[in-house]
Amino acid sequence: MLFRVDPGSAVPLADQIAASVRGAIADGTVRPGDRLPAARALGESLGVNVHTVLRGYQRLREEGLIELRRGRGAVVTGDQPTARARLLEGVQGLVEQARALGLSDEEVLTLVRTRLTGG
Amino acid sequence: MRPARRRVLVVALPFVLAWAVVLAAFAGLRDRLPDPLATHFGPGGEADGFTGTGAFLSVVTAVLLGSGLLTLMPTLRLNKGLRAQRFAVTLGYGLSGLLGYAFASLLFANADATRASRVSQPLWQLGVAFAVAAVMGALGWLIAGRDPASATGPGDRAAAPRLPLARGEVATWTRSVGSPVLLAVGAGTTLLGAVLTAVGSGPATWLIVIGLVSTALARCRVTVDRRGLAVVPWFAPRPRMRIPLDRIERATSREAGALSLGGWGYRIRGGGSALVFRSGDALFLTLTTGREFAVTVDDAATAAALLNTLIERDRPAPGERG
Repeated sequence: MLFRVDPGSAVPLADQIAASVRGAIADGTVRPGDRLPAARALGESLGVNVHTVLRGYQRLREEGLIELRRGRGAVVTGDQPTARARLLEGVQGLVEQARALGLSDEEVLTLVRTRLTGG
Repeated sequence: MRPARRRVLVVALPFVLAWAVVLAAFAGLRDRLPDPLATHFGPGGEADGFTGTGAFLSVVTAVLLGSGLLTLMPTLRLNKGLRAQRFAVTLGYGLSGLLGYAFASLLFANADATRASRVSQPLWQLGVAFAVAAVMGALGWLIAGRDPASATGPGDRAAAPRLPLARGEVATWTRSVGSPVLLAVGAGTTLLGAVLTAVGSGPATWLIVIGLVSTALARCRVTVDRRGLAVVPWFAPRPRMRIPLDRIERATSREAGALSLGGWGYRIRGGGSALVFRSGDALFLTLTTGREFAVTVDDAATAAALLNTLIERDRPAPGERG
């Protein structure tokens, strides 16, 4: 899988790393059960602090895409990660479009909530 | 002269020269040689094997021209700079020196002997033959080193796949690859060693060690980044195999069968080496020495594109602006 980070971008490095993994899961390059590279090795490779990589992995864990286990590293979970990653990319797109329109967080949540209750 | 033809000449020359030297020695000594010739000598230097002159010349011709042709085969097949085949060229020069000296000194030892059984050849002649071989080998090493010409024109490099990166963007491609064959062979070897140990026969500990190493290395992680290419076992950062970016000329990817790469594991062939885990998608690197390195790994196309992009960023080709 391909990790890309741009230190010149406004997006935090940890989020860029998480986005790389999310994209790879969404397009099927990385499959359930696959192991992500060790945080230390990836940090050295990208020239990024190991804690930054771990923050990116932590975020993926919160999103339910990977499991972090001591000694086993980061493993992509078996719970439909591909569909889940695509959904998360959709959410990301929604947030970006809303921000571009100048909507507040509350307005975005209201929009989503209305849509959810409206079925 | 075309480079391909020049390379053939350079590789074949010492064998032809050795052949010519032996023939010239034979022609010059013709009237003073016994028939049959003494051609084999015991540990004390006394003759104990004999060959007719006609048969001797046939053997000389067959051995020298035969080994010359064998040495030439990779040169003809690869069509690459001789530096990529430096080892083979060195071996060829050394071998022709050894054989040429051995055959010629045999003729001189036979000269003026009325009966072949009286001929003797002291053992130190063998030492001289190896010294000649060493000198010739060194010559071959130097000559092969002067032909780096990896046949990569700028056109080849421009045609290689790329992966567009923003200025300042850092990218790492990484993927793990497993080998069912190495795993099975390793497990089998370990099992065999364990069984032999249980039965109590022979030095089976080595089998267990080899089997475990093979099993452990059956899954590796291949990484391409700003530093070049690295292959490490899945469980630890060492042992590591690394090819720095500045030693890579360009990268390509294609499907390759394990047998066409020389089998499974770490393979060395004429003109290159390969890490073979399985048949299928493989990453091929052309090194700046003209040698080739291959590693079988999925999604090798992305790895090749990233490598070419990083190489270009590291040292733009003449006429291009990075």
